[in-house]
Amino acid sequence: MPTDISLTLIVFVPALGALLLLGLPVDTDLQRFRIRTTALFATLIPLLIAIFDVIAEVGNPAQGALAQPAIDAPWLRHFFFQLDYHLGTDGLNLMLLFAVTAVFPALILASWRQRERYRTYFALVLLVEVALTGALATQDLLLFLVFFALPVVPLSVLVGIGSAPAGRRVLFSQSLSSSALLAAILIMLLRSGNVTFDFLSLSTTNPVKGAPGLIVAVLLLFAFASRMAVFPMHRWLVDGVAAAPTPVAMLLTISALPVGAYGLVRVLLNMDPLASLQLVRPVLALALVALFFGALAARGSREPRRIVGFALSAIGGPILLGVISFSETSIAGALGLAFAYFFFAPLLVLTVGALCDRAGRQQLGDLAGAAANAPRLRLLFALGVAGLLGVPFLAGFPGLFQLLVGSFVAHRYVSALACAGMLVLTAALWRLLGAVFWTGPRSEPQVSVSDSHGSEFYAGWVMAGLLIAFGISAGYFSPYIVHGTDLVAARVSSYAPAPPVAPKGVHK
Amino acid sequence: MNLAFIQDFIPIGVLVLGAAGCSWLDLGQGRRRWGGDSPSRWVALAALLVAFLASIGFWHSSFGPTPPDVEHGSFLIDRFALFFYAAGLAAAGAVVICGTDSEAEVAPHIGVYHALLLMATAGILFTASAADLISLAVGLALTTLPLAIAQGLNKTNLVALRTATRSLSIAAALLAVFVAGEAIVAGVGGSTTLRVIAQRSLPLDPALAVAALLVMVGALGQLGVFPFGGWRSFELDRVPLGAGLARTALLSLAVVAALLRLLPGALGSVAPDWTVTLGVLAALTLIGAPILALRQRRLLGAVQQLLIAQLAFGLLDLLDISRSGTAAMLYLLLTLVPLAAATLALAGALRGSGEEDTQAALRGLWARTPWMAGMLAVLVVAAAGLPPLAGFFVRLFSVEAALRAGFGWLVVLALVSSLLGIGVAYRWVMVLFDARVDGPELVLPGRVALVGVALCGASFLGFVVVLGPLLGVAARAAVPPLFGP
Repeated sequence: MPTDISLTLIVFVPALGALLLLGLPVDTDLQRFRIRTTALFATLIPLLIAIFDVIAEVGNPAQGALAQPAIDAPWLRHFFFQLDYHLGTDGLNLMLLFAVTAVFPALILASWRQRERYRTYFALVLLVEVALTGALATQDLLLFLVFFALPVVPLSVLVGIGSAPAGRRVLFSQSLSSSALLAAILIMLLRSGNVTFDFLSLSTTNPVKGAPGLIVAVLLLFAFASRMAVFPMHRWLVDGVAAAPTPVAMLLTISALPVGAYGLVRVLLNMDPLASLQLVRPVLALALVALFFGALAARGSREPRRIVGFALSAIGGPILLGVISFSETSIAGALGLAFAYFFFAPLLVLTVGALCDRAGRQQLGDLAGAAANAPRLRLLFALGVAGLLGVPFLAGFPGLFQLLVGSFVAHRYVSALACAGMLVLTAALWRLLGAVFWTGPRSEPQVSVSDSHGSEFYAGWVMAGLLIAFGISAGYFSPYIVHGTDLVAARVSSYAPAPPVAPKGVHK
Repeated sequence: MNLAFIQDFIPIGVLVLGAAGCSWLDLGQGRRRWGGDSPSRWVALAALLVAFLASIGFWHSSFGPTPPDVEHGSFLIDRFALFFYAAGLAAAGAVVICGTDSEAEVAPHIGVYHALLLMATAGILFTASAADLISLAVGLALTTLPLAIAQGLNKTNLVALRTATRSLSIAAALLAVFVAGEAIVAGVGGSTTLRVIAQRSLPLDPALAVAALLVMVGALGQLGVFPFGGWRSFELDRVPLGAGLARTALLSLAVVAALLRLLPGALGSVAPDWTVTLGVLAALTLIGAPILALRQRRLLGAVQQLLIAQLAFGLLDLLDISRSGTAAMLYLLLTLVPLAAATLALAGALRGSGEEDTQAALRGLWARTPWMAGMLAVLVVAAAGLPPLAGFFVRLFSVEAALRAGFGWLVVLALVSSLLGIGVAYRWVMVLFDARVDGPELVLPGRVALVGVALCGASFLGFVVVLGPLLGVAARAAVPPLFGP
């Protein structure tokens, strides 16, 4: 029984930090500073441990193929089912886990100017980190569900403090998503006759067949697509990004798409490959609709925050395409894009949020040329956009490239349409970039904002730096992710119908 | 004459003696000697501790490799009973500790209040040990009536007295319904002994279905299961807090013990006669309780309804007549008690501050008393069964049990119920963490009650960590014929 506690520390140190925060006084500036630094340290410790894990594992890409169990202890026995406290990493989750631990210190830095509800705010942020790292690190489906559902209330409260309707929307959609996952798990467990929730065991047993299998797949697709904020379940993210305070909007984005994408690969493809094959066409359609809807809505929107929200929602489309193409390359690409999303999404939200907050305006027309004299803000936003669009040498590139290449083999026309969708998205973001971050050619700007500085500047550069660093070093970690997708792709292809055999006498 | 059997009644006897001692402290000689500040709380805790120590001997023998059950006609001490001995005594201790801030509401009858709590605890032990229909009814009455009487201890408040009188009448009527159901069971089964009824292979009989309905309504109605849920909230707003919430914590143990002995135990062979009725009751409560919680403008009422919804999830466990189903129900009870006790402590502190538990009064509490707001928020979230707290696992087990029992339609309602519960929790958390509202700083629970809250919180979290061992103990407590003939 492996008992390495490194992953346990990565997951639960932020929880300890949250508990510690609740006991700290909050009356003076010094005490508030202590709360912020405690929160920062609670996020830095998991990052340090994650760095060691990445160095130890990524150097050997073959290790990515099979989960390296950090700890696997029996938790519940002699019941309807067995439950294990099982954490482990492989190519599917290690880099995503690392990205979570890397982005949270930046998020704390971005929250440095938080003025109210110090303890509550930072404690809830740390709780969301526990949920994200837990969902990514666990190798047990029930634990995954627990961590998947854990951030629903903290996120709703954080968003709801800024805007009650947006908070309610987050609560409703995420509760539905968690309920769908629970329902799928129950049906899967009951129909398959399994008594264990272990990912490895579930991925080696026969999947649920027939209509129940299809229902499970649809429920899983709904759960994860809803978490990814894919059309038509995108409103919660767009409204949240538009209405919540900037750091909360950043938190909302990073808790959305990556866990959903990971769930699609780890749970849907792995546990229900048979039904996944039946869902190819609907998912392809959903992917295209999501991408085009998000891109066109971003193009049509007049609020910078909403433009970013729609753009981030649109990214779910290519990820769905990559996942449903079933090849190692496309799945690895989807995960790579989800990995990059951890850096470009909060960066975009941070820069646009800073701009709108400082200008005190929300409409694109009012903000024309507002950031023309803020070069650092402009550069950070441009880097975020470039990361999202998959510009080479940024972290988004390897993911998007692999995704499109991998899916092109399986669905060439859909892939071509997805490329067109990305162009529409580029146009939408270009419009924002041109309108706000450069001086308008027609008139003088109505308002001018100061440049990025202080903790916001550092937070932005941490994310931008990671975006660049992982873009340059893609060759180092990409093989590890690709190896991680080997088993998933093999499992799906083992259930795929054999290609038709050419009749005798017919030669190609 | 062999009087050795007396030792088997020592735990119950200690509680009765403790109750006498508490009453004595309130009456005549005792009141004069101690003045207004009665030490009955410590007498009650001591009685509970001694009763627990007295029951430890049974634990060793009963949970050993070959459990020698103690049986004297209608009195039986088996693993199942011992589970309830431990849970009941711990629950009563938690109620006494967490209720210290609410004792003022029943002054100058604090000793009588504690005496009634001890009598109700003795009732739990008696119900859990019941081996026949008569002792089941006696045990349930012994638990129900003292708790109903305790609600009338605020004799200076006319509204409270009227409410308590009505409560007592309803409790008595429901007990009569329960006994009527038992009478039909005895008539059809040809015996009052549970083991004999279980061993007879009874045919499916409409009379048994009616009997089961009466038993369920009589027992579960006491807990606020549909259609009695609204009454429980109404009652809780008016009667002394300690008595009201003790009813939730202690009575649920006795009622579940009685139902487990009777339904899967004695009537397991005719399960189709009662499972559908139970499923319908569960369904109505699963939806009704969270809707009532949503309509509540008082926190206490909302939490009470969420706890009733949690109990409704427990009814799903009863549908699956298996060792696992019974164990899941027992685990649910373990998680319900600390919640009810913590509610008592926090609501007591609120009332002690002269503050109401309405939305208007609690709005923006985080700014005035962050600790109190935090504790209340955790309480509501826990009562709604959100992960990763124990309530979530309780719901998961229940849904699994319902699926295994073939009640898939109930799972849909369970999911809807959970969603409604999340809505309730969210609404109250948002109220507590709403924008700053000026108002007085609230008093935190007193030292003793705070210890109680800490213990309840620790146990609620600890029950998740030791999920496996706890369910293991619960599964061992689910002895035959509890999970079928």
